[in-house]
Amino acid sequence: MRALQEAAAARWQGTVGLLVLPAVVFLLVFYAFPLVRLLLVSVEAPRWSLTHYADFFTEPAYLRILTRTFRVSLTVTFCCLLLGYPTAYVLLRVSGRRRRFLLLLVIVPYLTSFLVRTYAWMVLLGPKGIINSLLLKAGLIDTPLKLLYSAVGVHVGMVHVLLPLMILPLYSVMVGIDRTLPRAAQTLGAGPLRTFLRVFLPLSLPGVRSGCVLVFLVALGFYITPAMLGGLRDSMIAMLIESQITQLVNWGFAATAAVVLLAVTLGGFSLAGRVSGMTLLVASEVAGQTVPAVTWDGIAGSRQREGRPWMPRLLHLAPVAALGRRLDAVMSAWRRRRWARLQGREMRGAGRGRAALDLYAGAVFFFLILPTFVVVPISLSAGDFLAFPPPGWSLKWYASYFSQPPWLHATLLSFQVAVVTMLASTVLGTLAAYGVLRGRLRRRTLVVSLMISPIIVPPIVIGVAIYGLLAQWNLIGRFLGLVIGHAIGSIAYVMVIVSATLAGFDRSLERAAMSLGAGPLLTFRRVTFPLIRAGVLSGAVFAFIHSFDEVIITMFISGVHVQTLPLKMWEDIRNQIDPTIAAVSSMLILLPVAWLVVLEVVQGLQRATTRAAPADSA
Amino acid sequence: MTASHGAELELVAVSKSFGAVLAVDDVSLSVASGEFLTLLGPSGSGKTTTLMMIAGFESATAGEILLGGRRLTHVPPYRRNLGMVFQHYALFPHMTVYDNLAFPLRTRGVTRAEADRRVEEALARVRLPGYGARFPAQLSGGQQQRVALARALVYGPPVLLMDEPLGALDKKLREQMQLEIKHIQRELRLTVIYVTHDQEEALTMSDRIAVMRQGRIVQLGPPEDLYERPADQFVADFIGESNFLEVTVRGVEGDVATALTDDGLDVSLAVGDVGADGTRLTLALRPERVRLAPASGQGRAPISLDASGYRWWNGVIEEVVYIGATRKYQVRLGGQLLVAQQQAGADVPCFREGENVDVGWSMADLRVVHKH
Repeated sequence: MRALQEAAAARWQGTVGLLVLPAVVFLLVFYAFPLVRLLLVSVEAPRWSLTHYADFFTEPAYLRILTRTFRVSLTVTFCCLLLGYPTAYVLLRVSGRRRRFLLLLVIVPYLTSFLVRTYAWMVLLGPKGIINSLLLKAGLIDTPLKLLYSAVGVHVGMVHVLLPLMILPLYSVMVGIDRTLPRAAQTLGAGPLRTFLRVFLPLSLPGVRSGCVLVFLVALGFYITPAMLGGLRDSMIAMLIESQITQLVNWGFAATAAVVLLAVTLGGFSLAGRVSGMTLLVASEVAGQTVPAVTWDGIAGSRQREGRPWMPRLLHLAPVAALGRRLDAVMSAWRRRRWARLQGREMRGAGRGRAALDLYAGAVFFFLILPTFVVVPISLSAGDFLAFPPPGWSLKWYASYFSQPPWLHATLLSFQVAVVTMLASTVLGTLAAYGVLRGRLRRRTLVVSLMISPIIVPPIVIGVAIYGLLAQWNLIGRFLGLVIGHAIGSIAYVMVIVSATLAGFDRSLERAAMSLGAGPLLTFRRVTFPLIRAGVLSGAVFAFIHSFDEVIITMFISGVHVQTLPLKMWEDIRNQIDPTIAAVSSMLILLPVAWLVVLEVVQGLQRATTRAAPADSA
Repeated sequence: MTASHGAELELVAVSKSFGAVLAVDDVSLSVASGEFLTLLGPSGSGKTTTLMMIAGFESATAGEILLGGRRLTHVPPYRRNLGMVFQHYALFPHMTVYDNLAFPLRTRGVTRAEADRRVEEALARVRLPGYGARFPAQLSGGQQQRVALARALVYGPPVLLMDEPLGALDKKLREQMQLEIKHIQRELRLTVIYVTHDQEEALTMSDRIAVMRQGRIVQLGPPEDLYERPADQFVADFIGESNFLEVTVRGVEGDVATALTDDGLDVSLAVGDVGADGTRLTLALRPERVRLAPASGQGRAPISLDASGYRWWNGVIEEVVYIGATRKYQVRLGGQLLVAQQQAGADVPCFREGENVDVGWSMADLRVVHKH
């Protein structure tokens, strides 16, 4: 009897595991297979030749681009850490409504269109842009500084775009640090600095690692920002790939560069997998749901790291140890005197350090949120060019948007593609998340990696890879083709957010339902789904945003005649900078705000049903 | 563990409000050197807030805290030189046991050799010698608790604060640790402020207990005082178990007052402060002071006053609960339901549900806990 039941349970779990199939099949066909083909193209299969690789690694021009890509990514990562760490720390210090507000200042830029944010920097940094105008007027400079189309522009723009990706994982790790630990350090006699260095900093290092890996990897594949804000000498590898295809039609070499980029990115993926999970989690949490902090470990099932045993071991090197002992004796005497002097002493002027920190974080929040909004005054300009301050005020650029059919068609198409992508990827992603967490799966880590890696793999690589396949199936420039291209990333977002929600809820509720006689489907419909609904909805929102903003993959698969809104914006920005774009951008920055409101309302409804539940049953 | 003496600690009219909520309300308390004092109360009674103010993590809205006669008001936590054991131990997960213990010594400029010696000594005292190289995650809950205690003791702080330190342990381990902590405290003559909501733990360990409710100390005294002479109904109910009887005073004769429950049960009281005729009183009676005997078949209560001062009534057993060492009975006396607790033993009769019994108690076991 018992054996029978166990067999039935195993069979059931096996069946649940099958729910991952639709997503896995989709991604194998439209994502994994094209990447493998990309690899084959790069080695010129079936002729098998490494000439492209030889070219890539011997030609100084390419090597310069490669090293520049690394250098820029490293610098950007470092700047993000420098700006992000104190900011995340300050987020931790404030509480309640203020923390929620400040987190929104991080999330809103994160949800705002890539193109809009980068365009805003063009407005700010241009020769007649806001920064140069202000500096000229203040008499600090005589000629405009070359900020736009320079390395400065690339760095500033990239840091601005990537900073939320640094702050969110840092914050989520810091929030997880047991608050009593710094307190314990204090009762043991450690002052603020020592408490930070010896207790808080070491415990926040996983967040530093996650944030840095994430920012660095995403920076490596950047295309839009360096292309818009950089000069000719600021090309990065993604631009090399694009120009090899669009200008030279050299698919073999483009594939090679893409494979190199892919290899580097996937090399860091084992580290980054959990990172992206956590980031999204925080984002969705702030977007209105309360999910306990679950790391990707909980999903992928990798093992927890222990302390850092290498630290003491390094100190065992004999000469170092001897020096250490000498230093220790000196330091001990100093600390002893200091302790005796300060013990029981009252504190004065403690607020100054904190005020400086708050000021720093305030500047970072300003940097995060404000630049985006400069598009609003520009969009209301009466002039024909980007100029600040605008020569006069008018609504003509809005009128221009609404009177041009190409803009309207592009907008409509983007909405249609995004809605269909959202529906498809929400279904596939939710099923997959449920299958991964509740079913018994072999190669679970592999399946999870396949499904969430599109968050990390540079879109330019995906775009190059699926172009061939879609062309073969005659899907280039077709609605279906666009949906397929966008769904690859959208599924990953849904999957991550829904699994986090699933992992965070009490499984005994499902068991209780089953013990009460509800079958698997009834349990899912009446218990599981209502409880994860908010998670599914935030997943859907992310899926929509991903599709609605997507420009790089779209660029490859949209063909000549089809234009989505981001693509139209992108091409207009390249050709003519008239403020119609500012008008469109101004409207687009309202979108994340609208989404947050939607999520908030849904969350409110959910809370209301949860509260009403006992009354219903009574 | 050099400082062998605890210091005295004094709270003078300390209050703490969070917005409109008064978490601690005018608490004054003076703890002698070497005393084990427990703050006992239900959650939200202000006991933890009081402890946090002593530790320096919350600042008092009014009043002062003095350690060895010195004002602590503006001294930050890290200069107070107190020892603290946290509810969930707060061991640094990224440091070994040795590093956890050496941490407070390093801040105080203790040399490495001296630190080695003192860490080993502290670990030996909590019976974990040789555990220095382990990480906290590699220890059991009980072992982590010991390490937390050792870390709070290793630098010989004059006062040790403990915030429900045994809450996460199972019952058996908790009882064992209670005795061990008490033993170490006596040996080192430590001053300990101990916070708990577990009245049994408080009774077992404390020299004195301060029972807190809604931010105030409602009674302060040695365990026996609190148990035998609870100041009010709350204390009588919170510490141990009590039967409560609502009675009205009906006449005083010599040093005995007669009082009737609403349904006419006649109980007598020693005349203390029972007040005038007609006063409503709430009386408390401990279950283990209620005696049961096989029914003697006599009339309505009270049936007799026996040689040892016990008065007996007729009752019916409504429910029996067997708890190993004792049996608990719910007995009906007219309209009253009383809980009676009897030792289980060969010479003690046991009763069945529905059985008629005689129920008795001594006048001296009735406490007036509330006068209306």
